[in-house]
Amino acid sequence: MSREIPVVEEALRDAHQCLWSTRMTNEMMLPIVERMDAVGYDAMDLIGGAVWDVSIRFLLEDPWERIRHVRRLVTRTPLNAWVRGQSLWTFEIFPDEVVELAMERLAANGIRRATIYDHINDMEGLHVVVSKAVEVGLEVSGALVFTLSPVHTDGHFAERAAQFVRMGATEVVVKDPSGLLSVERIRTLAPALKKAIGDAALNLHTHCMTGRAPDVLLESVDYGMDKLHCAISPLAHGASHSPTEWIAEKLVGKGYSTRLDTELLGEIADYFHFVARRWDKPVGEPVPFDPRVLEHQMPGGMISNLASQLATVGLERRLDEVLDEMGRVRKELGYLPIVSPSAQFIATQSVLNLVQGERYKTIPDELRKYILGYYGRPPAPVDQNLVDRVARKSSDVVTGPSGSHVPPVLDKIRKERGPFESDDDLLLAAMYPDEIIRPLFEARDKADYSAFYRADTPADYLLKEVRARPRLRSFELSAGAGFNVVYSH
Amino acid sequence: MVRESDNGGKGQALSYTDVLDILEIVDGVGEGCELTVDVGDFHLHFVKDAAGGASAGPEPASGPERAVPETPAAETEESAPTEAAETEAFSADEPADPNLFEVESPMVGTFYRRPAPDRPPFVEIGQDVGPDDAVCLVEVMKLFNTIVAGQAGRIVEICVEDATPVAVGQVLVRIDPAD
Repeated sequence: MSREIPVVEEALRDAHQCLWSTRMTNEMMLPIVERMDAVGYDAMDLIGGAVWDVSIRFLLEDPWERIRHVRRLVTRTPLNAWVRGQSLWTFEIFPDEVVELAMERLAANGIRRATIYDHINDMEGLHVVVSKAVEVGLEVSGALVFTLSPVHTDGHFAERAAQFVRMGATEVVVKDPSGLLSVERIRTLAPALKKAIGDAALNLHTHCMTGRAPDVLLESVDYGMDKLHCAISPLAHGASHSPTEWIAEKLVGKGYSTRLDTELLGEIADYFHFVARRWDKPVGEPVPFDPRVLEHQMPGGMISNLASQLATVGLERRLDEVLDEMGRVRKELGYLPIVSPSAQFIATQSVLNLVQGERYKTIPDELRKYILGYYGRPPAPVDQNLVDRVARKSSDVVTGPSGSHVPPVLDKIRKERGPFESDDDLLLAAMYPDEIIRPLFEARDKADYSAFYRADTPADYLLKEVRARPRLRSFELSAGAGFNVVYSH
Repeated sequence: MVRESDNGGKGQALSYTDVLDILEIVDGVGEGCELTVDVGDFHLHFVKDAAGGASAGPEPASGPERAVPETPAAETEESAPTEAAETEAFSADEPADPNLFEVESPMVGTFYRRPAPDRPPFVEIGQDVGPDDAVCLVEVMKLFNTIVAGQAGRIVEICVEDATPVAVGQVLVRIDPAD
């Protein structure tokens, strides 16, 4: 019997983060999620750092409420939330009590799987969050951020993958945010990880910005990869993921099977094409391979941000120099993966080094904390000269899990900013100031998202639009057997 | 009058994107015109009244809705200070006393007088500072940089409004050096 390859759908989380600046609203997703629940996905990804932040700050949609609405409609498929270790969904490091309460609330609101990672793959910093997630009944999927460096060998990743399983993870994810994996590398990495994790399921989450992800996904299953992360075709390619329908078809072609209902995938693709056109959002296009990405390892969106930052200081012609400097800075900082927030540390420090003409003359506060050990243990030791430059005395350098350096805050927040309607609101207050959460709460009180639970059928939608055009005196449409619309006024 | 039937189930005879295509055709045809399209099983026919015609109602909403306009905050979230802002800040500078020590911005960024919105400013005019005392924050590419005085003395001028853009090398604070 052919091996079945489960697929995790990224449409509701990573795909719109990559292609639509994370601007998919409840109105866009709720009408289709019930249909998506019937497709046969292994899980649907819903929550992550960017989704959390953008929905709170810019869409004024409470992410806890989004989880509850989607859960009401999606009863079979597990919903997934990515959790950036002790930082949850922001760049701040939270005390253990905040992280633990957040895991409880994820489970209580309807998330079934938590994909947990640390941006520098510091396993020591993940014990609290992983053990709490296991305790509250979440399926834990441990993710490792893939990056290229002399220290990031297959063994480096395998050792951490095994640690995840010992901590209680039932799945391990290779998270490749810049599409750095090649077909050749996955042939050694996947077997090394499989060997390290025993019965746990190995997932591949690789982005398309280098154009190689679809080939890498298809190759990976031959080398032991268990599950693939994909995005429905209108939300695929570009900086997003490989298209679900295409991967499903190719898997079958390679002799594997999937549980996906391909006819239903067609309907869902049609719906998201419709959303893209109606709200003027781009659909993803395949990206040709650019070998330079392998040197600077920067996601495409970040390169364009950096270019516009450089233009404001007249450095736009020095992008290459900045990229070279980023290579040096990254090495001195211990080969950080180029992912949020470490990507910002490296890029900003490199720009400062070039603009000031003296390296490390100004060091951002967060980077100082990183150098002193507050973010946990880096992949390789930070350059000692840099540590000496930042530490005024040797006791300034700290060791131990990142959460152990942060005092509890919840009692103080309750007293000073409460009362709160729920622990969900308390957590929002722990993450954001009142200027941000008060407008969110006001918008939430006015919104009625259950109005989006049922999608208009295409015919309903057509009729509404026809009625909204008073100059149309008559309108008739028939499209094949059994479909007929006649309208006049 | 509306009559409608559809095949009511899976395998939609009409997709969402078909509807958008049809509406584009409808909106692309001039007023006072009639259009008939017959291709295989597909039949489309409609009549549009002339402008000012008896049954003409108000103008239809043009094109698809654009829900969720980007908020102003979203527009500016990635933006860097503009040249205009830099020029303005520079021109506001008065000729400086050469004896004063100037704390400069390391980069294009945003100047903050306080460590957090709910905290008091780092320094006030007239306050004495040591060389390692923080005088302000400059946010560069989403990261905060604590700027220290770099010189012992008394704060005589805070040259920039709180939470406004600053240019590289722009004077942020002037200090009267202690002897």
